[in-house]
Amino acid sequence: MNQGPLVFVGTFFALAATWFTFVLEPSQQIGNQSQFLIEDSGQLFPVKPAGLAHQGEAVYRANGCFYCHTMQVRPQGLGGDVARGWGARSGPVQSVSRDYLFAETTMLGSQRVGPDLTNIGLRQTNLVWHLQHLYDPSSLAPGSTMPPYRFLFTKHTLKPGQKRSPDALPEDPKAPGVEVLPSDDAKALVAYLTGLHSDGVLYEAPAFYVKPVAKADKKAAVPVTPAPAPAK
Amino acid sequence: MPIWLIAIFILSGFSGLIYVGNHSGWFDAQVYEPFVDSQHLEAWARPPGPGEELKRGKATFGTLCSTCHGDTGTGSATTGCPPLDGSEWVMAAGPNRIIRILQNGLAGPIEVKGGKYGGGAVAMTAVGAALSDQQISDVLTYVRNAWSNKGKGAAPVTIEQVKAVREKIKDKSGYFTPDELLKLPEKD
Amino acid sequence: MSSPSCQLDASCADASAPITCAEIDASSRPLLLLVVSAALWLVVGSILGLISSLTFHAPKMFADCAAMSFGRSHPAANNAFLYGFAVPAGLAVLLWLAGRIGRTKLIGAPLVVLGWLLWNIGVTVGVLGILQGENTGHEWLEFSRSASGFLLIGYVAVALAGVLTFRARKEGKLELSQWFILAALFWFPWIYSTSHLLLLIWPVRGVLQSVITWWYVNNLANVWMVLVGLAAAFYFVPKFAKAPLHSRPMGLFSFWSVILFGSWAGIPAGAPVPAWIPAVSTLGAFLSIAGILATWLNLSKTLCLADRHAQRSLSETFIPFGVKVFPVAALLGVLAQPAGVSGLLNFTWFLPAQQQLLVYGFYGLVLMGALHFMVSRLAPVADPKPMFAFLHFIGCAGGVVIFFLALACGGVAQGGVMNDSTVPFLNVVKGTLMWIRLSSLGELLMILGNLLFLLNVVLAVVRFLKVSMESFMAENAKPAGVRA
Repeated sequence: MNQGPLVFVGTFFALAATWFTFVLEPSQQIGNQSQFLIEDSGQLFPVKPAGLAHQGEAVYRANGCFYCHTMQVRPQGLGGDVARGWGARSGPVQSVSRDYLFAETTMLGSQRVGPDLTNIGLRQTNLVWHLQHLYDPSSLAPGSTMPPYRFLFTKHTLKPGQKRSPDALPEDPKAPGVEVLPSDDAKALVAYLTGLHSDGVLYEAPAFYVKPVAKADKKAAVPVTPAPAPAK
Repeated sequence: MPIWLIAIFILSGFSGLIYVGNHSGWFDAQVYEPFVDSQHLEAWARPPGPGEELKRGKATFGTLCSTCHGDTGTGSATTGCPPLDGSEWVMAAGPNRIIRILQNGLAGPIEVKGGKYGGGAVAMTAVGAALSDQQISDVLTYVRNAWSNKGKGAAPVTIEQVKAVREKIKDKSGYFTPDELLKLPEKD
Repeated sequence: MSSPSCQLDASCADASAPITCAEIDASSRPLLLLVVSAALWLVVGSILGLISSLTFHAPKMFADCAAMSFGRSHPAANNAFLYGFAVPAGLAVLLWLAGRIGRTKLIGAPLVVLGWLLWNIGVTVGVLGILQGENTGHEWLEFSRSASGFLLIGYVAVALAGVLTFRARKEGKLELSQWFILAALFWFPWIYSTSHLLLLIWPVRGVLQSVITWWYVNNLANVWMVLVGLAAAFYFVPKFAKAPLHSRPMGLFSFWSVILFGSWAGIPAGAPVPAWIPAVSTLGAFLSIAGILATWLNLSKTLCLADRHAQRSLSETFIPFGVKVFPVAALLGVLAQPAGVSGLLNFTWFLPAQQQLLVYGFYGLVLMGALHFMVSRLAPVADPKPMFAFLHFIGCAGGVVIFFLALACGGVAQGGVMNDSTVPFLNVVKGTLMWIRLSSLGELLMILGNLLFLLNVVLAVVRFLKVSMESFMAENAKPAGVRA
């Protein structure tokens, strides 16, 4: 008996089964999500990131930040994410699929060599801190194992009498008269980081209590396309 | 095929199905861990009993405030971050000033419990801007009733008070300064 | 015919067979292209890997050099291993086995050469692109759109030759290995093109991208690589034991288990997707346990018939080792899946350790064993010196064991303190450094092993080319002399 066709058809069905379960069905369920209208504040969540933050996402991607930093907070009861203060939702559910609606590339990450960055835009809002930290992480976090991203900056020696640029990093007392300027990539990356927050109270991720809004996306939500100006 | 292998297959499949029963949320797209199903999710969203606001406030405090103010509200003299525990600002008769601090942030030198704090390059950021009225009232109520502030009879901060203050300062942009706040009454 | 490995061909040289092994092997020589490039990429990948792990020992080393920074050299290393070594080496073994088992010459040699060329252009473009910052942001699918287009066409060309060779087989009833070969040939283009289309051509939105990436990674590691590795194992192990396979029905059970449940496991609990997706993933992991045990039992029962004291060739040390690693790596993958364990191990070094054990310890070693066998038949040369064989095996096998043990132990410890919020996060990171240093020792050993693999393959091919060139010259010289 020729068993070739049997193996071929079997293979086809096995593949079709996993494709149906892990590609098609998830697409049906979460492929058409839209922004959620938060009744309490009248705001939509999530909001589309500003142009600079969007450019920053490309810098984050190109330099592989997601190999060491996750962007997903596990729910209460699973690991210590909530106890570490990485989540910003007061309810038990933390990261949900709607949070990533406006990410061009969803980079959840799989390793925590560094801390989770889901809500870094809430934890550290100081742009200068972020720039300084990218330039020399151990100056702000002694003992940090993060590599410095000096290639995102340019360094000049100031001529006598020359004024420091307003963009320049704070002067290093060990190297007076040297000016460190962030590149456009560095500024975009910081705009991206400070814009990260997954804190909206949603139907699927309630706060301790909020009156539930209509259950289905269709009723409560507004179509995605006309995105409002970013909140921050 | 040995029998025990078939038994393992059936047994593992069976326990896998039990796992799916407990963790799948019955294939509802809205159910995430740790909810079991949509009824569990709905039940969670119902108004809670008394005392729950402190739990919620503590959770918010843990994510947003404790990084600088410390887990027990002691603050830090080195970073210029004032204490909350025993602070006369926190324990004022009304929440008029502290709601403003949360909503817009605070910059400039401030005196708390006789010590001088702040005034450097680092200011308190507008952490409350991203929170709901509910969350602000919870976290302030918690701070006013936690640690040694407990039992001093500080009134809870209501959602209405938060709403009212937010409405008043909706056009204000940028940080408040301590001097600006001291001109305001503690309580409306 | 005195060396032990040569006798292994006896089963092939069946008196009734109209075609000899030597003829099949001669027709399969274009596959050496795939083997040489695979060995080269293996070394390139492991050197890039070493560069990326230097960052852990001296974080400031590449602060001014974007291309060598961890976030670029790490994915470049991984992709060089996967697409430079793992897939083309697997294809070479699949095609050669299809000819050997089907007792037919390789059909479509030009397709193999064309596919090899396109594939390697794709890998070069892709790896250089990653170093320059052209990363798609999807783990294991980091190659840019153009690079992965080359890969897909290249694969289809080579696999077409494989299917043609497979169809030319002499018997309709299939040997066990042939089941695995046929499924593997079709599996890769489907998963690669689906994820390529949905992530790069018409990208889906949000977290769906991650779901598709998981689906692809699990399919490549737990199905495609396992199919190819077991195709080789089910062919070579009975050869080594000089006995038939312990049980064919059990082998078929392994087959169905791999293709039905292999790709399900791997989506961690607590991921930002509806709860049922990780739950079903766990169900799949549980269901695959029996298949893994069946594979282990079947192969080890056959292996124990092999003569323990006979002098062993390189493939006779590599393949049995890989076969023993398989159940360990696969069962650890299952173990890490349910929510309780995943809460501890997810995001730690445990999972990269388990993955390395599967893709290098099992797949890589079985493949290297099969390739050594193949190269020694396609380009016949003397067996390497015992010292060489010893260093090669210790490098590859010892390296991966040290690497795995260091990172797996480190990962469990890391998970414990990471979930204890009283330990500052920086201390969690510092706690892993000692384990990472230990794993770098394993990495160095693996580089040594990979280098010796390259050396052996290149030496064999060069020597073979030299010999055939000389005989060609000698043949052409004679008529010329006669004419004069």
